[in-house]
Amino acid sequence: MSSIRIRKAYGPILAFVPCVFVLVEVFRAWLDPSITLALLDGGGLLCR
Amino acid sequence: MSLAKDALRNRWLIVIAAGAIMGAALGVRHVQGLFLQPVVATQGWSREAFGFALAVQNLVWGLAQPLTGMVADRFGSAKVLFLGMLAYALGLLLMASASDPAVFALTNGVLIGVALSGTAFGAVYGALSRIFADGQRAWALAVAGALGGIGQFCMVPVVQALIAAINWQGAAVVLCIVMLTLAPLAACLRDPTKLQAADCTEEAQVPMTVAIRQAFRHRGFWLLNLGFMACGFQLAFIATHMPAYLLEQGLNLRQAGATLAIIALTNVFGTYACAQLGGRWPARQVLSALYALRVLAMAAFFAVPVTPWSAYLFSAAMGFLWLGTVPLTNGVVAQIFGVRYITTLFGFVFLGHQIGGFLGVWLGGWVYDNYHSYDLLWLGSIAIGLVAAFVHRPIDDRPLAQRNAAENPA
Repeated sequence: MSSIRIRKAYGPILAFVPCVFVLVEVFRAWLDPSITLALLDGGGLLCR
Repeated sequence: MSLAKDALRNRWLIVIAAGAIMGAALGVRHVQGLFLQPVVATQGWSREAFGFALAVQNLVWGLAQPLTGMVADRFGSAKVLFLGMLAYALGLLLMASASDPAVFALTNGVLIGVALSGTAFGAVYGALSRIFADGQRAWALAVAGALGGIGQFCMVPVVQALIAAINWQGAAVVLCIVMLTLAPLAACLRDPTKLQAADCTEEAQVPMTVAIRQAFRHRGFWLLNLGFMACGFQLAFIATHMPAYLLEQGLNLRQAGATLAIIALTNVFGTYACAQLGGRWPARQVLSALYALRVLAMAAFFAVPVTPWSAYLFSAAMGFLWLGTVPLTNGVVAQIFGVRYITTLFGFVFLGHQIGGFLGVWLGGWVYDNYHSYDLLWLGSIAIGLVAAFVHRPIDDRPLAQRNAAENPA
């Protein structure tokens, strides 16, 4: 398989992995007690 | 090279610029709640003073959206987006140096409210709707919407860390610098405002006042407004009152906080999916299905005993259906009235959303204070969702010119 075909086949997957990793880490950061308390305290003001 | 071909060639640059601007604008707004404790603690103001500023911000955003839309439709979205980012930066800078609640309400409330109308959904989706032709529009709104959602999701821990590391004033100044840095990206969103609009039709030659009058006389326009008002009500009620409801039902702080994180995360994927579906099926039908699914999710959540997992599942479902309404509603407006005045007309519909949001927050508190239970609000939210699911079905989404031609054959 040529390098271009390999890049086309696996490129999106390889790009997706770090994105998932970042999202998981950010999600974990949301669960930090300081954020949870601040979110719930200011929750009424956080509405979209 | 035509504008449509040019947009196709630079499509990734355009949608990433759009997503970055919208992500920053919505993200900064999304973290406002994190400023509550430090502002109250350091300034000695009441929570009411802080809440008042944010209530003003929401209302000003809604009221300013049609006006900002008129400016964007007349002079081009890029100028509005650029000035919006500058206004946002100025609002954050002045907010950091506010010495009393009135100044805070003027900066955080009025100035950032106006800035949001020039940097968030209305302005960004309006620009993309004009830049991209029919075949690419749903994709562009989907990617920009998802990037905007990522901005909201990622900014919460980052800003919390900033507030902890420096202070709230320092965090506001850093956000101000972020806005200034991203402002030049508006140049990527130069849209055709004159006759060379991407799907140039006779609507492009109608004056703005006539277009607004035509929209106000269109039954579908008011049905869309009603549906979007229901959306605002549901989202504001859930985002504001659900954590308190969950705590009352026996969940702990961490579990209640996790539901907000789940909503913010699944919103990223939901916005992308809903916008893409709007490109494959009639947007009004997708909207109708979306509201029906929200009703099912709320009814199921209300019917079963509240546990951490039922709350997580409900949050995932609602998050997926959270802001998908925005590109879809924008899509219906574009389909019926064309893209020449899309930002103005969507602005009027968005005003309904903000009024619904105000009612969701305020009525939630009022009902709880008077009945000591959120049950009535859940039932009301389900009923409103049913109405929204039904009102989108009869919308006549034929393009206005086509409808007029069919009704008045020459």
